Amino acid sequence: MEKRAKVLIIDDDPDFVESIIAVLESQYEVVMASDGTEGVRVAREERPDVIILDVMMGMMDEGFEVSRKLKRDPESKHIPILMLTAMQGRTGFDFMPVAGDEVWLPVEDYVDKPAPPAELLGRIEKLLEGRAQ
Amino acid sequence: MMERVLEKRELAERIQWLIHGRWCAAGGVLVLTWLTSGVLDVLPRPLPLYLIGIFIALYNAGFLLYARKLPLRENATRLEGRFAHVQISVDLFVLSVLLHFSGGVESPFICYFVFHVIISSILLTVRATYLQATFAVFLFSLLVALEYAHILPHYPLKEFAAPDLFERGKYILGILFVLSTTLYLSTFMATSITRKLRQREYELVEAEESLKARTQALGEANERLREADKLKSEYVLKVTHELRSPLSTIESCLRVVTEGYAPPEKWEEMLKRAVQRTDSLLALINDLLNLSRMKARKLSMEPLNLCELIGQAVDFMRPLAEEKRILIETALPCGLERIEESCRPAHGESVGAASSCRLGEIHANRDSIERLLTNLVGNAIRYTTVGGKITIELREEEDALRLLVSDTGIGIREQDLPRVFDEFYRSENAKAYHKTGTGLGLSLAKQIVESHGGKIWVESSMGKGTTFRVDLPTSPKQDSAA
Repeated sequence: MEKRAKVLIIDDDPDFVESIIAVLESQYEVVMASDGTEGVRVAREERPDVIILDVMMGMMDEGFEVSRKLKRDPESKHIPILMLTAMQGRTGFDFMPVAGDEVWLPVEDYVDKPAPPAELLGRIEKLLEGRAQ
Repeated sequence: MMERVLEKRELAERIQWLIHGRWCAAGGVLVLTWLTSGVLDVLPRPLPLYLIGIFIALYNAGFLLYARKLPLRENATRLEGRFAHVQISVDLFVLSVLLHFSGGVESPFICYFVFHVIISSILLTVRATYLQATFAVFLFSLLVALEYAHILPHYPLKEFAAPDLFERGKYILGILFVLSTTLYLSTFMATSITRKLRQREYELVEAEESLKARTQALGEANERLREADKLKSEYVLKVTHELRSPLSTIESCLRVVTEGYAPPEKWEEMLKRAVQRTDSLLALINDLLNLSRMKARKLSMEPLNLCELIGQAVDFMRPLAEEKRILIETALPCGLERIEESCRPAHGESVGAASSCRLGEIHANRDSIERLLTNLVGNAIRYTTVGGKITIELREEEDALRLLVSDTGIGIREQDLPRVFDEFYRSENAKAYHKTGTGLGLSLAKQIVESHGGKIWVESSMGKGTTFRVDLPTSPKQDSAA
């Protein structure tokens, strides 16, 4: 049997994590971390194929810092990150995020939270394909 | 005060201007002397006039040096006034000497007295200007009188006027009359114009100053408004985030089920999670509403007995405590009757004897105090481990009732203590112990205590327990009625 891809979820809301696991666990191996520090550690240990990162944990923009940390670490910098945001003019952050911006938002893709499961699965699949090539 | 400042600045500027003008006068004397003696040949003895021209330049240099040093002196303003006076007096005297050597009464330069009067009116006070005009008339009268009496020699101009003009009494009196009236009228006109101009200038400067002050005050008010607006926006942003997060989760949990992504055996769990989060979201909204109500609304106060309220709150919370086998102890001065002169019968209250009052009486809002008590006791139960103990104590202090709610709970880290009353703030170990919580309970408690004119403190020791101390004033707060 083909080895299943591993997805790491970094989010501080256990209920949300459970709902994501419910969606993903039939197709992927899922690991989780409930804060940024744990997330960086688990990323090193588990070497997931994709990281789903919530931008708003504890502090309002902890996710940004975590994404920069992950991309600085040689152990985890190759892992594509899908960031869960609450942007689209609803947070009051007045900037246009550009995925892949090294300095600002060093993630491969982002999606508005809550993302419909189909959307989430599609994005993960795309990131995994991109990685395989 | 401002007029003084303005006057001083103006005087200093005009003294400079006077000195500049005098250089021109010195040059003018020399050039005119050369013209009248050399070219026109009407001035037979030019030497004294050349000397006068040089003398003017010399004393002007002296004045210049003095003027430069003047601002450093202590009473500079007074000295500057006097200095201007002296300069004009010297000028008038030198002009008289010049007139003497250029024909006395027949010299056309007598008209130049008018300049000096105008300069005086600009530089000096009205009185001083009249004084200078009088001095000019005096000097010229003295000169023509002395020449008339042959006490001073007369130096006539060549082929210019009748040679005996200086001896003609009627002519001299006529000249004197015209000169003095000219000088006094010029003084009158020049000083009244100058006075008006000065008045305008003062008004202008004053208006400018008050405008500046008003602009600054407006700017400051604007800055405060902007700051308040910024705080409000930040608060709205925070509240939005707090409301959005659970909603996202609820939506996510529901979609997993409705869109069939989770296996049916997981549905119940997902739905349960959604319901739980809905409940906590509702609790959050209730707390938010209470908090903003508390901030916005004036509370209706009534006489209450804190002992009774504490008893009720404990009874209400006891089942929750028993679930965790937590013991609640109370140390209340209830039932103790105090008979003192200061105790007046509670008006219209059925509780308590007419001639005594109980300890624990307070003037407060019932709903708020009940909420405060359930919040503090509920918090204590929440963060106390199974088998712990909660102590509620009420003490009578001077002008205040002190409530102490202590637990043997998990405690609060020292660095988190200053923030526990902040809205939405939950310390790390509180989160670790209890995943959910609005972070508003203690903010609400603080708001309630403060709207009663009281104070709330927290003391804690990690792993040992926490004590909340509340002081509520026994007499109704002054401004709560306002």
